[in-house]
Amino acid sequence: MDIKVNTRSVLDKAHVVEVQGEIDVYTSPRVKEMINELIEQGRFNLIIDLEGVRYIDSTGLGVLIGALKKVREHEGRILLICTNPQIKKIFNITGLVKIFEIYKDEEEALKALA
Amino acid sequence: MPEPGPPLQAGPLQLGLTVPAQAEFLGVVRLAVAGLCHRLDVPPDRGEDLKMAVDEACSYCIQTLPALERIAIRFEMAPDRLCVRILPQPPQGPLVSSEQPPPLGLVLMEALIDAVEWLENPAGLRLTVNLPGVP
Repeated sequence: MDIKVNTRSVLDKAHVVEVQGEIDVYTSPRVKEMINELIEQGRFNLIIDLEGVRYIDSTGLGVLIGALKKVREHEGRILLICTNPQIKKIFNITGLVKIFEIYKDEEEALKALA
Repeated sequence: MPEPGPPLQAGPLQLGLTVPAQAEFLGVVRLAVAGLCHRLDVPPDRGEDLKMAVDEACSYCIQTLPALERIAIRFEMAPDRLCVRILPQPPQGPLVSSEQPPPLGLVLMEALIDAVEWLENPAGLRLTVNLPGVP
């Protein structure tokens, strides 16, 4: 089982965290570590691209919730990119759709940050 | 390897899978559920729901049962439903505490499938997905 996490800066506005693979109890520590590194570096506006994510479990949701709490302490934002219906369904069931900003692509997310 | 519990009731199809109680094997469990659902023509969305519910149940066991060595997963297919039993090995005591709020994973599990039963002897869970088209 693999997980790939890449980060890059976009227009000095935000950092994009691209995640590919499956986020579960085994792989979520890697995702958490990468996001926390960015937050510790003072990057408080994060776009987390979940388009390459085939599966996310409650542990993965917990990582996203934890990150959101941290950036909000610094008036930051987390914007998610997600079009996978199954993953969006999980956000709906858990009510997380109300606390996360979810966009269809990076362009739309960047517009929301402007 | 010891038999995890009493035999399943007679049905048209029974399958079993036992994995080490380690997080890195959750992917194997998900693959098995997805493969079985595909083979049985379970509607894709129902199969995804069951896959997640089984994963959450196994994750819960791995995270909360310190003496856990293995997890036995037993599938039972009936014409109108697919049941999956999750049986921690060696057998454990009560799996849930009524004094604490359920973790997010268990909430999700209960929301995704048609029935979640907490088994007592041996301790475990039975997850059921009803299949459409059957009165």
